[in-house]
Amino acid sequence: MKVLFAGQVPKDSSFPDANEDAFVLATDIGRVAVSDGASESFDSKTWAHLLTARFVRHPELSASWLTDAVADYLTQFDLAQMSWSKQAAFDRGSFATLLGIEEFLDHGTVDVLGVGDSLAVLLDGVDFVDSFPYVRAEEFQQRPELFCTNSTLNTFFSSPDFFSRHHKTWCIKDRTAPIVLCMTDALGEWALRHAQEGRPVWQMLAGIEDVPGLKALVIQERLTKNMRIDDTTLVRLSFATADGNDLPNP
Amino acid sequence: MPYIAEINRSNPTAFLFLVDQSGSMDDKMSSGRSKAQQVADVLNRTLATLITRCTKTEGTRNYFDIGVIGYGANGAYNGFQGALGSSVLHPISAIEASPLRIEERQKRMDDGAGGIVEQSIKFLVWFEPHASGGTPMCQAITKAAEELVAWCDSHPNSYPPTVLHITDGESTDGDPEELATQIRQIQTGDGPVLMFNLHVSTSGANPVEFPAAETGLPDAYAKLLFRMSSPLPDHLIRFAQEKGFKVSMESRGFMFNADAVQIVNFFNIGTRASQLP
Repeated sequence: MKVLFAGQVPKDSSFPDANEDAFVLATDIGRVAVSDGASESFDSKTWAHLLTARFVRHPELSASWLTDAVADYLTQFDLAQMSWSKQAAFDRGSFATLLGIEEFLDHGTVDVLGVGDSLAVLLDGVDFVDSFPYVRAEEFQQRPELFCTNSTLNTFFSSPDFFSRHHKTWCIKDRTAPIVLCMTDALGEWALRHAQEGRPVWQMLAGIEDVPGLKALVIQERLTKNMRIDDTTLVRLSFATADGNDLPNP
Repeated sequence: MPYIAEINRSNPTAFLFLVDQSGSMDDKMSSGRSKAQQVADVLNRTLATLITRCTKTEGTRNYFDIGVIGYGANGAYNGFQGALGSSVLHPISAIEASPLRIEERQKRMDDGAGGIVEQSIKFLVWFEPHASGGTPMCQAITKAAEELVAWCDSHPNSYPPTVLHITDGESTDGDPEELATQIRQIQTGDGPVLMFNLHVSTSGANPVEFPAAETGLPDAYAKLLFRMSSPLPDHLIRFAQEKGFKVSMESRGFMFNADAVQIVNFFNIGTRASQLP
């Protein structure tokens, strides 16, 4: 696994520090995680960072995985020192997506964990192969289930069909030039919508070399009201081919 | 396409509550409490909900401007007092900082073992119940229009304001229908003002939420308020459907004896988890 690009554009240029997206790149162990902290949360920025860091350390989610993540989050705050409104917001919880990518070299596969509306797209070169967890742009209109720091709101995690709904394996060993794009929702919705309309943007996304390039695209699309104004993250990964060579950036 | 502006700190939206405080609001509901008390509780709870939604680690972010116009014996007036009495619309952080008082109330809750326990909760009060005099609804809508024209002029890129009008019905200073039409024509670059009318009644009739026609509404006042209400825009139809309401393309922002709090939850600040109400 090789990171070809990773960058972010905050939703509000007046408040760049308020960006609530997070990503962790651990290519040495074949893992990458992206999280989009929901705006309507007490501290989704911290929550998104905790989830991504935990995924790259422990990619196999178990019953204790989320409990421990919530416990980590709770230790960051002193409830007694909070105003009434902060206490109420804290009790309500913080929410975030988790998109986890893990490469299995021996099997020639990539596992994708997708909770919420962050999107992974598998390309072969610049040709679309699959996307997960959404395949249609309209799906972004749903209100997604997100991991929450209020444990009572995480019941979906213990549902028997959690893994069948939130996990997918992509076989990449027979692909010529496998690329995985990880995107938070505004960019993911924009990309799937363009593909549906017969104007795929995969080549454009595969050609972004630096953060100014991503920023120029996002600002332009926001100005024309083609892309929702939201914190935006793009991570582009390439994978070794069957002959063991990393691919050049297509 | 209207109503697509993101709600953020650079481009907040506004909620303006118009609250009937006429003498008839002293009538008792089935709960034994007056309509005025019930409405004040709902409004105070709504304000606390909005503040909670906007509050982060560093404080309350100004995603919303909020105002309350009361109307009754003293005409139409700012429904806030104290530090908030100087103007009608305030950024939500100012509302957070200036409750009139914090009450301790008892809330009955499930004890998890089949029983009920009473738990002490904080209840914040910004708005006091009053009920006296006539119902100068036209005066109130005119005052709201003045506020919203100025607000829209200074927020051209914002999602347009939402008026939530809570009343038990009959205007005593003229027909408000034309004024309601005019207020719905005030707009930002993202679309015209949305007007929701919430009719409270002691009649005991079943609640009505987002009807598509005035036929079937319980009385002439309800029908008038239906006509004064904005058609629901597409995104609110979608949200209402998600929440289980039976709505159609003809549905309007009118409710009869229903809970107003749920309406403010229709306005998202970015992505909203499905687990939230």
